[in-house]
Amino acid sequence: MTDWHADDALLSAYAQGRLDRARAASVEQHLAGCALCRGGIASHADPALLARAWVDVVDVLDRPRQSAFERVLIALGLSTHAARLATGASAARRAWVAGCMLVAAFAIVARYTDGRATIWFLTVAPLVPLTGVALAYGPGAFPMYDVVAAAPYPRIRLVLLRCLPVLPMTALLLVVGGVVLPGTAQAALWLLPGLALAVLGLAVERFVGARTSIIGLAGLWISAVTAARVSTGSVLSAFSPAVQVLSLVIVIVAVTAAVIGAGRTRRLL
Amino acid sequence: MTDIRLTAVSKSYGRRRVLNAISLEAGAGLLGLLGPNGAGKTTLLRILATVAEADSGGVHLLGQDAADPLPRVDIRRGLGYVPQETGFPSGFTAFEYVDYVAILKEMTDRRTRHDEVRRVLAVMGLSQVARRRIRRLSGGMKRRLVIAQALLGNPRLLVLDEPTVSLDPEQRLRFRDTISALAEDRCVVVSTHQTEDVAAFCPRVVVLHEGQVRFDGAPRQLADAATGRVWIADRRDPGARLAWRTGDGPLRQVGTPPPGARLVQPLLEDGYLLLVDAAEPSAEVTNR
Repeated sequence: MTDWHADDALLSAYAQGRLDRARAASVEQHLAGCALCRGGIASHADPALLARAWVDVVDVLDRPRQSAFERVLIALGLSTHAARLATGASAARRAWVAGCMLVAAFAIVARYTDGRATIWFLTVAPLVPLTGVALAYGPGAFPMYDVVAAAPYPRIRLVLLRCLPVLPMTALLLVVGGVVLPGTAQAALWLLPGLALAVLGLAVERFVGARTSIIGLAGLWISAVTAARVSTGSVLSAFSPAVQVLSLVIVIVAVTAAVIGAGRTRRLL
Repeated sequence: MTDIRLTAVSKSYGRRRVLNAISLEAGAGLLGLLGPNGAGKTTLLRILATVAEADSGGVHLLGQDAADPLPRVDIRRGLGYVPQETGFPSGFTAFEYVDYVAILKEMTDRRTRHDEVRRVLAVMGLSQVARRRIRRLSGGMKRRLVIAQALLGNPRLLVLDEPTVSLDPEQRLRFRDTISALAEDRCVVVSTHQTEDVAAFCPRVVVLHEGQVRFDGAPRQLADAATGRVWIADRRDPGARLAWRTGDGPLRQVGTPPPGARLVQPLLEDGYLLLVDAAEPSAEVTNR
């Protein structure tokens, strides 16, 4: 405690930023412990400056907390708002995690069944992201569907952002699986067709609805895998380099459309 | 300026025709949409919000054709929509929810967006709960939150599907005040089951029934349609299609009054009931 108090002139000079650093720091330290002087400085403070400072404080408090995944996406170059859209809806995130865990479990089972389950695994696994995306974001499943549908945000960009969470999760699971269980990495063949089906599914869902989109694309995929197996005797031909390239083209076209859409609204992903 | 121009709009779900050649025009002001369940109100509002597309007919909103993809995006930039039912992603705070929608409305500058989010939350009286998880909000607060997101960006067209559901009487009055002020310079369409809401603050009412417009005019005109058809008596009269006991004791009856009946001034709901009930004779039996 001290009996010394800052006089009006000193408080005024401090409030208006006219003190040098050393004296300002000294006054600041005194103010922190002296209620009387804190009360005295109020009349010298610029109300507009105080209002701006208060809004700044409130903004920091209001600011949505970023998840670890959201921070990773931002570090990789995604804008903060796009990262928010990609990771904000936790219901969809849970659907992804569940889908990926299912695929990983399937891969492990396939590893231990002498290849017989691999046929089923490779047939079904690409459909998991498709159904995951469509179910997580379709009407009746995504709680904000109508609100999102009425917003101007480019749909194709939203589709891609929604697909983002599946990539690190599945890649991580497959890498871990490959390390723990040698041979599991082969299961990664499904990843690109799976992503392409998911992108197509969300794009088509806009026109025919989630159910028709899932059933239609799932039917097409299963037919293609069956035809490949019948004609070549191996399900792996459905994952040939040509199919992988086609899948890559679909994904690249979607990315290009998203970038063009971003250009139209003068924003990037 | 005509903000809404619908021309012979029809919409079916499967074999069921929900909207049947609806034509409607509206400019700045408040338009109340009334109708029983299944009348097609929500479908009509989803078309106005560009969430659903009409099977046939023309939909022009804010001067642009909603059937074309690019103009549709422009329409959405000037649109605020409160769906009849909507959920919330779990874990969001009130602020985070509105901020998420603000991003979808292309507000990319964080500081400007956050200021706008705070503004709409304040308009709906939710500033104090901005940082509260949505699951901890009351039903009325959640409804106000959905209305708040519709106000983002000061839209030129507001489409509100039963916005006053879950609001308590005080909140409903505040809502009327807010929406009335907004409707002075923009088009606001409000669907509701609350005839008193329409009577209180809508200068124009449209009654939709079985996918068709049955009435389009001032609430007073709808009420006047029941002139000479509303009376009070101590016992139910045979000509009454609907009757209910009032707080004062006697039965208020709507239908064909007996000779010498004590006629009373009809309200909006009397005209509405007669209009809708006329299309459904079975209502007389179910309401006895």
